[in-house]
Amino acid sequence: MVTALGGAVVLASLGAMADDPCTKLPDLWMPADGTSGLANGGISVQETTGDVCQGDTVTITVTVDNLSCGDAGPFYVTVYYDGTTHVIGTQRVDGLPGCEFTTLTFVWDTDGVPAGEHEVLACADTTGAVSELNESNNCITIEQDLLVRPNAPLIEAEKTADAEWYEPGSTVTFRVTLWNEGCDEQEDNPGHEFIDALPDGLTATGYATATSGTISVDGNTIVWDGSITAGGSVTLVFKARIDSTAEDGSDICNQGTVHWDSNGDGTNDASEPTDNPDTGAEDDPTCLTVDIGGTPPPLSGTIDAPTLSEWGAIVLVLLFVSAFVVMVRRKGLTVA
Amino acid sequence: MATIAVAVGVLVWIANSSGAMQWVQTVLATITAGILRVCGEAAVVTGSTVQTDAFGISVVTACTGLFTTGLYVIAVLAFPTRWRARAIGLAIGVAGIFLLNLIRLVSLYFVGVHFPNVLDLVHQGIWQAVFIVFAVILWLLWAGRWGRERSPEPKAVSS
Repeated sequence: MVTALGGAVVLASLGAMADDPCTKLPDLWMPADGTSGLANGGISVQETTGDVCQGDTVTITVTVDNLSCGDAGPFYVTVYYDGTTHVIGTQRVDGLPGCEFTTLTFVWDTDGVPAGEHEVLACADTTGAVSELNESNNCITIEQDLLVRPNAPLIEAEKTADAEWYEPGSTVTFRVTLWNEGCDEQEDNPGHEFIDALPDGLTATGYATATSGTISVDGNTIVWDGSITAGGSVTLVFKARIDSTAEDGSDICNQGTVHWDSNGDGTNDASEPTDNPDTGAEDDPTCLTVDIGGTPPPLSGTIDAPTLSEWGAIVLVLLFVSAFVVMVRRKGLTVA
Repeated sequence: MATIAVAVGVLVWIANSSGAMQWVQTVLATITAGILRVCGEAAVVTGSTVQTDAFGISVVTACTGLFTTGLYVIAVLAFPTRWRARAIGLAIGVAGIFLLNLIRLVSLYFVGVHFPNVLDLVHQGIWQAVFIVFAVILWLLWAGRWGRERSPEPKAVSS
């Protein structure tokens, strides 16, 4: 009896709670990508479909959640790039009940959008139609910037040395990587595509290789000519010797320069210095320090030189056996 | 057969003996560096690695030509002929393969310095083929020259 009464009280209380209207204002917000715990176990999505060539379309997905129990009336969601002056698109949401969320999809035609990296921003209630508990959490910048690649070559270059400290007279191995981030092939145009004039204190050894194209050493300057496919890369490796008279503690810095055709007219009209990826700075030189009596640099350019591969060994065995049999038969001998 | 078994045993022992192999590798590296110095290169030997500022070659076990030499030695010992002829064959073969390997190492150094783009081709392709052909032809020449001919069949005597 007591139990039945108690159960009735609990049910009555729950019924009263369900009927209790929420008197709070709504609170629209844009939860970070991957935020869980939304209504019905929902997870927030704030993303783009990734880098594209100019003129291609990008699909942008955004999630708007109502943090409060108060219902939100109709409002607009707008997606921008590079601040709030460049609108990608606006969609109307007819209302968002308390604690609910909605996911919207925008399709962005990047025709006419400047090439380069763009920051994508999404904002809810851009017209201020909804009075909210918190008006400052209505926007989110999508974490990954979107790269719109030009329909022409766009070359980036990095240059590294195989160590930071070197003895005077030792050899430095430089590695340069050229990437074509554009959507068109960089042709082997007139003039060099890459030039690296070594500074005082460094002398080219003559060792220079490239994964494609033609690399050569012209005096103390490394030059490379060749093409790079759209989205492709080329790696150049060359060696230079540090002067034996280099002073202890002195820094030797330099950069190569990559030249490319930024408008597809067959002429290299753009250039950029190499970047040292080991530092946070952009387009900064690659430096090494002379260190007398320091730890010697790692052995570079050394190969193992086995005489035979596995297949070579098999071929050799077969040839010896064949030669042996032929010679024994020819001479009419018998092997004991 | 016993002789061949002994020869195989000796070769396997050499291949598995770090001391013996290290000695062979060091000898090869030292002679290679000496030839390079004669050619004007400032080559130094560190362990079994020949190196200059521009390039280096590590003479590892597989670089010694031991496998090729071993096969050649077994083929000479197995071939039915006189011991003196075998001794000549062994001397010619072992020395010839050793010299060819020196030429190979020196040439690989210069290819690595001046024509690095074709280093793999020369190393993996051309020199491997040259090594195989050289060893087999050397043995054929030896067997043709010093290999014992079977005695002619006795002629039938007519009564």
